[in-house]
Amino acid sequence: MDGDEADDERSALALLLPFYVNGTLPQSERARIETALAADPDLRAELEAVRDIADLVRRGGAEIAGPVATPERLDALLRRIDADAPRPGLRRLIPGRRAQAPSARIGAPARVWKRAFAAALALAVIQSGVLAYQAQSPKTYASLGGPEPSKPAVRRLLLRLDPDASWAQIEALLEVHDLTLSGGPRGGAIEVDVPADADSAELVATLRASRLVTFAGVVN
Amino acid sequence: MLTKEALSQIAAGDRAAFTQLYLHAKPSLIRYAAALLAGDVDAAMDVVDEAFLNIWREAGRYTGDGSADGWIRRIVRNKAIDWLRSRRERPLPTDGDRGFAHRQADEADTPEATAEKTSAADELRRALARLSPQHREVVWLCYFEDRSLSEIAVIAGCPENTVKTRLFHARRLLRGQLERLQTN
Repeated sequence: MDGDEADDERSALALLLPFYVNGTLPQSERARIETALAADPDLRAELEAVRDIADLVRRGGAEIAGPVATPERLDALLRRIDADAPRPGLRRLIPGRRAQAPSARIGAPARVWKRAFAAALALAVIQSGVLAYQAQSPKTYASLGGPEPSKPAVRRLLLRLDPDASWAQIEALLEVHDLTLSGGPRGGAIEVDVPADADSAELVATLRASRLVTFAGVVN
Repeated sequence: MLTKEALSQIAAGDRAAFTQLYLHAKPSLIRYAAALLAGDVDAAMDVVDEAFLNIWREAGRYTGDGSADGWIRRIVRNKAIDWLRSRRERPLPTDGDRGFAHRQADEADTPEATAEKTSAADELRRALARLSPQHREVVWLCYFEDRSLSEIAVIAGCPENTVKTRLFHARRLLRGQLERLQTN
């Protein structure tokens, strides 16, 4: 290898050093770099510079504490989505639909119908969620051979939800508190199973503080 | 849930899938956007919310070819660049602003540890401020997210050679700052 070729090789390897440092380089190229590093002090200096940058970014970057998605932000985003016009993809699914003037779309009667439709849809989705859950549950039958095995007592809460709450918000609420939908909706309320290790009283207090919940109480 | 699958459900109007994707992906997207915005975490949160609104509207445009994560990041990047353009006159966040250091308030830390954390955060913010958004992006994806060359090329939407040269130029641009850090 002459001088120019050696320079070209070193330049090519120097460009790969960031990926050598972050560990994503294929083994064959790692080996190429390690061979060159053993013989080339300039490349070793370059490697140190790359490591310094990696260290700077990792230490500083770790301090972005990954803010938790606050419910308020999610709520605000979902409200904007609610207020959004139908997407082009969905509009195409409605044959014969014509674009309406903005004033017609944002009129009060349209809003009332939209809210009524959203509420009906939310109830239907909750109901289908319950049916799907019940369909997945194993069916057990008492046999003549003996008593049913004893089951751990399930703790259950009754929740009445804000009528304006969307299904996405309800689902997020259940997920955050590790609750499983087990019944309802009946009379505007749902039943949820509480995780075995949770403190029911504390959970009820927390749920009552949520603006999505208008009532929370222990069922059994 | 896979991001690709989530996008297809969102395209069909599935709000639960949207919420799930939001809760799952938001923290890393905020970090990524904050890097593009030279450490302004508050702006990054707004940018990511705007990007999610676009994801809701445009999920049907994702064809399934290529990385879904890359598709989402491109939306976040475009929103971040729009934000930078709209705030061209706005100065970069100062030490007292809500940037990296603000997010790291930890009552358990000793004053020395807090000072060290603030220092690392500020050093990174200063370093990123020296770079263009394109350079910040590759620096972040390579050194913080440990992405491979091919992944970065997909996310950044440029050839692999461009990624390599951007990283090289970023190194040159940051050399002075790194030398000063080493002498301190």
